Amino acid sequence: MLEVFLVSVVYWTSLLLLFIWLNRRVQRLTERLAMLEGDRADREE
Amino acid sequence: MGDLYRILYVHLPAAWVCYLAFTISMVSSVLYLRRRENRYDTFAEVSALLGLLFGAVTLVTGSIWANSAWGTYWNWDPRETTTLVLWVAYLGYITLKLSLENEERRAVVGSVYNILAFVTVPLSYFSLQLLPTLHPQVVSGSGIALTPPMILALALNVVSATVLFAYLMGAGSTVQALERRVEALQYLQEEGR
Repeated sequence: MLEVFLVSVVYWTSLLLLFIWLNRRVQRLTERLAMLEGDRADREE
Repeated sequence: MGDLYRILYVHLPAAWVCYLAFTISMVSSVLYLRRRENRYDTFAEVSALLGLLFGAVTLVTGSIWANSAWGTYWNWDPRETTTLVLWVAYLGYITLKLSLENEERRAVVGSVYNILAFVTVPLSYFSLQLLPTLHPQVVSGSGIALTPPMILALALNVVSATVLFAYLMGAGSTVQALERRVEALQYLQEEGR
């Protein structure tokens, strides 16, 4: 049963890390996009 | 085997999502080749990545069960082998996409490869009927070989795995779309436009 325990730990840890990574990535990209679009709007003015 | 049979509640939903993900990936590639819209290529790529993730879970949990039932983690049973072939075929799809720099060429070549790689999905699924195998057949033409409480638990796990896949698909596609938009704006900024 040790292998089941180890695989469960790896499985749930991977999922948790994936959730965290996806949320942080979306947040960073949204901020970067807002900055780039702001720069573009400034240049167009 | 004892409580180890409960690995079925992770193994079967993971296998279902794996097949579902590769099917969505193939359909998205067909749609990309027909309409040439980047979002379909994004769906295909994200779906294939998730298929690989759930496929890995299927292979690992299957091996643990096999060790308990057959006395070895891997014995080249037709179901094991065809599922490994399926997994490697889609690993090839991701590797191919990473190896091409031109965005349009990457999408077109990747889509064609993806459609060809999909052959491995029915090969894996129907390996139980087509080839002599030791793999147990839970769902067959004569019904489901489980007790009602087991069917309920399994159904709940299948639904939750599908919801998890849908969430990851949405989040992954959002990340890909944002990355493309950021890259495009950065390119325009560098060009001074």
